Amino acid sequence: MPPEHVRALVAATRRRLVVALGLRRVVTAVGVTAASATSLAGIARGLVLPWAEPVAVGAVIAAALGAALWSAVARPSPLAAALVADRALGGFDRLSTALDLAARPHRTDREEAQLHAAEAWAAQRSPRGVVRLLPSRPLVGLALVALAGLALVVLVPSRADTLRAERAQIRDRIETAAEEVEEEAGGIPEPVAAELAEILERLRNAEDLERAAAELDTAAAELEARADPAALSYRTGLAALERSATAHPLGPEAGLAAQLAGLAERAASLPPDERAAAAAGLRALADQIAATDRDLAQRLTDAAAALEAGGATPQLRHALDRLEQLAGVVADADARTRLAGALRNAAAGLRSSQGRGEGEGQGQGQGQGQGQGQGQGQAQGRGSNPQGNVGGGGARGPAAGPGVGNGGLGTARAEDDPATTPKRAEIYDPILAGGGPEERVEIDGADPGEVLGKIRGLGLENVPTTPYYDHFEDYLAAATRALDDPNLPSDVRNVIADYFTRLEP
Amino acid sequence: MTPEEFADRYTRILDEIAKVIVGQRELVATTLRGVFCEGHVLLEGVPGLGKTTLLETLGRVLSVEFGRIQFTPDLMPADILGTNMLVDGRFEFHRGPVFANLVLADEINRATPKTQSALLEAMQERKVTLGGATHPLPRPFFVMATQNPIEMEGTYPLPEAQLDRFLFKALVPSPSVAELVEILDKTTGTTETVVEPVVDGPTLQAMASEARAVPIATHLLAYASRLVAATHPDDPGAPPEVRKYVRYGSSPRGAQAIVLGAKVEALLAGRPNVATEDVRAVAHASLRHRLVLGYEALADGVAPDELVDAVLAAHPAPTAD
Repeated sequence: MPPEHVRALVAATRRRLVVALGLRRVVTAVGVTAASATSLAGIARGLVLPWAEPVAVGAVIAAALGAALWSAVARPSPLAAALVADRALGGFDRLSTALDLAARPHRTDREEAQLHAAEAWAAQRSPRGVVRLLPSRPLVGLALVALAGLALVVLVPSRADTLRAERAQIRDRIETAAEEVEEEAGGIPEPVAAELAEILERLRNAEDLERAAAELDTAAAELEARADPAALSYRTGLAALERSATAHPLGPEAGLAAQLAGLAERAASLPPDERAAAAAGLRALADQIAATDRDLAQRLTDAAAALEAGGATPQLRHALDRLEQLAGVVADADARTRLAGALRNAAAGLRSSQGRGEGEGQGQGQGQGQGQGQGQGQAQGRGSNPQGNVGGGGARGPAAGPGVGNGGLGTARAEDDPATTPKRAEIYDPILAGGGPEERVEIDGADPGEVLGKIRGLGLENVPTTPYYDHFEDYLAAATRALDDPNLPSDVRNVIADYFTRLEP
Repeated sequence: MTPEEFADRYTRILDEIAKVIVGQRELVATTLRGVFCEGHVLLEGVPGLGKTTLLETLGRVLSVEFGRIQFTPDLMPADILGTNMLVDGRFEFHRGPVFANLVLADEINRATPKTQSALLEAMQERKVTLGGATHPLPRPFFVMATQNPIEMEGTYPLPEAQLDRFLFKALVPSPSVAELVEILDKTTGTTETVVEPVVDGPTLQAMASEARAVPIATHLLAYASRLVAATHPDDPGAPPEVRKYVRYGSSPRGAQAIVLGAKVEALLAGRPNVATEDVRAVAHASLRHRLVLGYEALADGVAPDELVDAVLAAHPAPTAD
């Protein structure tokens, strides 16, 4: 055990050494890392490296923490502290030699004398000033310069920052589009859901909005192409069957499938008259569906025959299976159609948000003036910029007495191609088109400035469109009602159903 | 003997020598270090710088048996060691001049290597073996040799083995003008300088024991070892100069010389232990004659002291590891 004052002096020196070394290591590590990080961040200003600045800042922090931790763990030995104290206090290795001699099991008289001399010497010395706690000014200065450089490079905006922000914005938009698609396509069957997951993955991997929109369009086309082509006719036929089942039910249950199932259960117990009525109903249904699906028609016919023969439970279940099979095909097709619509909407949304430049309206107007001026105009125009400003088309129809006026033409020019970014949510509405604001028009033959009449036509403010989604169901309901007409040939039904299927958003 | 007594005697020796030798502080100090370590010292310098005078003075001051051998090309080993002579029908050993406490081997490199080697056993083993009989040399025993620079005519370079047996090698510089004036004043007048003996043989041995008793820490032993290791061109700690110019580095005797010399240095400085400064102070005298330089060093005119400087610069202080 070293003498008391020797031990105390060495211990105090050691503590100061830990602090001094720690500070020096931290400053050095921060300076070196900051210089390297500045270079990295500087390079990242030219090249778009999204990870560069976070990595640079993180490296500096990690270096500082690492150096501090290292200093706390790798503390200098007592001998190292004694050597430092010897040099700083002019001890000529008194302390370090005393430490060494004190550790020896046996000592000579001269060695004991050395210990006493070292103890007396240490008792008169103070650890203050033995170790300079703060690092040298040049070292601190260089570290500060490196840090300032890093801060300058990181905080001053650069082209890379702008591009990075744009990328982030693009990612956000793509993610938003993906979420909207997921939300719109909720409740779709499992196979379609799997396809949707794949589509969304492709969407999220897209590098820009244009490619994302293209992916969505491609996916929508693929979805529609995979749909069973017979689904439309199945839906029409099944809808007709449901209406018939509602009008002439086979049982107390609601819905054709439930009625078939109920009938299958009580087939054996039906009285003859009800059996005959049910068989007639089944045959009527078979006739009704024969043009759409011969298989189901045959099964219904078989069930009717079996019912008349006193049985029919297996045949009814057989028909029910086919009915559910067809319903599944229709549901799958519906889901695909709905999903494709959602994808196209998302694509349109992405393209509209991508558009740059100013949009100018495209207008095409037709004015017809009759008598005191009743006009009808039509205008279509679309242009957009990133802020979503929409240009409208204008129409001005000069009318000549009872004659017909021609609407003026507008032009549209924008980077987005209006043809590829349709707003499916809006379609031309002739009712609205007739409800535009009154405009003053000049009619040939009158004196300049003389108002001969007013017309209602299209203007810059009244785009003659209507929400597509809001009205489609009305059109579809009307068409479905029309399909109920028993006089309508089945091939014509298919045409009508196909038409509305294509229109379906 | 206490350190204070040691220092007192050392001062008195210096004073007596200073009566004859003007200046040459480092030379005198190195020589006395060798004496207190009971080691051999080689003095190198051109003729006329007072090497022999210094050693003769030292012989008188130390009051020990003094033997002088003037090395010449025709000197034979028997002229140094002695010989067996037939006296009354019996061989009788007649001791040579090496049988003294302080042997002055003057101009040792003028003798042939064979004769030089005759000193080998005496210097290392402190005994002489002749005709099957071993004759111990008196204690203390020092060989103080002088030599001229080897590039001078009529000299034979000392073998490395023999060089290694010299604890220190001191270089004798030319005196300054002021020193030369004082030399002239002392040597060209009628006054005869009288030198008084200060210590005798047993006292010298006691002083040598006192020097060896000075404590030295392990990290300083490691530092001395590191310095010696760094003189080897294949050592990782060797500086570039050593790698380029040195063929063979110092032997372990170099480390022994450093430690012993450092102990004497610490004692003379009044320190209770050896310090780093003591180790560094004796590094040149301990290592300069132990470095075997390559032809490139000769071509570039690199002196051994420059290489020792490079070693000291590469290892400025002991470390804690």
